[in-house]
Amino acid sequence: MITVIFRTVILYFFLTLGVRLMGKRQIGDMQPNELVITFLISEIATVPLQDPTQPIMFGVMAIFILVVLEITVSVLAMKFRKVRKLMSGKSVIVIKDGEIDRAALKKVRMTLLDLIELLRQQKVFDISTVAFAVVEVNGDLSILLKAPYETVTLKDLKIKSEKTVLPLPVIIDGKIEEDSLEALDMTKSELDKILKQNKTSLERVFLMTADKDKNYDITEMREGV
Amino acid sequence: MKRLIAAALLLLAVFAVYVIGSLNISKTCKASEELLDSCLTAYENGEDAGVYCEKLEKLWEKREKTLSIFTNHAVLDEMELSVKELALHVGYADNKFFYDYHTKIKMLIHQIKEDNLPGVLSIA
Repeated sequence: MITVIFRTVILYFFLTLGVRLMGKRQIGDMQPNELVITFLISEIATVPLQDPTQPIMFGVMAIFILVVLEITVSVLAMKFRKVRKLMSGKSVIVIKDGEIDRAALKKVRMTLLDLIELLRQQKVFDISTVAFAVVEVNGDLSILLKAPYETVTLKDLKIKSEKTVLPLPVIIDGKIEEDSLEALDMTKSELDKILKQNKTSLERVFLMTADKDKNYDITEMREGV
Repeated sequence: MKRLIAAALLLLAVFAVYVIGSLNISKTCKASEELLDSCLTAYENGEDAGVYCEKLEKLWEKREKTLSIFTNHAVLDEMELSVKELALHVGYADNKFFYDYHTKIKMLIHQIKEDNLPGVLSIA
């Protein structure tokens, strides 16, 4: 029994390392080769866990080789378009100027009902309003509406907007986030000053966000939380 | 690029571990086969074959830990048991069991080699 515990802990760390090396991706965003590797890794990891007669090295080696393969293929795909096309396929335009391309739909093995469902998910209920619809390599549908049906933007209305600044968390759960302070060019004494102005202290702050324009927001910890 | 370097280092580490493991397996298997052959010759000539069995037992006891990194643990246990049985039957002349265990150990060595060392049969 204890063997299983140790093996699980060891494999957990190696798996986490492998997945971290591959980079952050959600299942839905994965390219076909990434999806295959993810499924393979999860299958391989269970073998030494279920069968104590199998050396754990078999699992670890297989996982690492898959990770190395995945990284190599993704680097090659970034550098060479042909590799990318071969490993991931390419996007297909299925609606052009409000008209469905049946041949393209057949190519991506998608039924008309599938397409209509995907359009509805994107809040498009009338195909004639679509300028272009593209089935991406991960199966997502990207839509560009015809000009009259596009969402109006502030630029269209010629309204001047304030520049967008990114607020960063400077205090989380009573602890200062040094990296955020550095990114905002904020000193600890400045932070102390703001806390004093708001009649609070570091220990009492649950979350404080700030941006480059020195705008900030403080959420204090509540009793019993 | 950082990821690619990390991946290359990882591959290098995996390869190094594999080479060390493979060398250990081939070395142990080769030594075992030599001891088995000597044991059989000595047994058939009516000499003291027990010495070779003892050496074989010691060899597997010594190498068990390092071999278990790359070899199926069930096969290793079976090997140890078979070597012990061989040592038990070596004392009796014209013993059928001696030949049985001798063949079994040879087969197990063949299996270990086939499972771990690259070859058409092991890959297929």
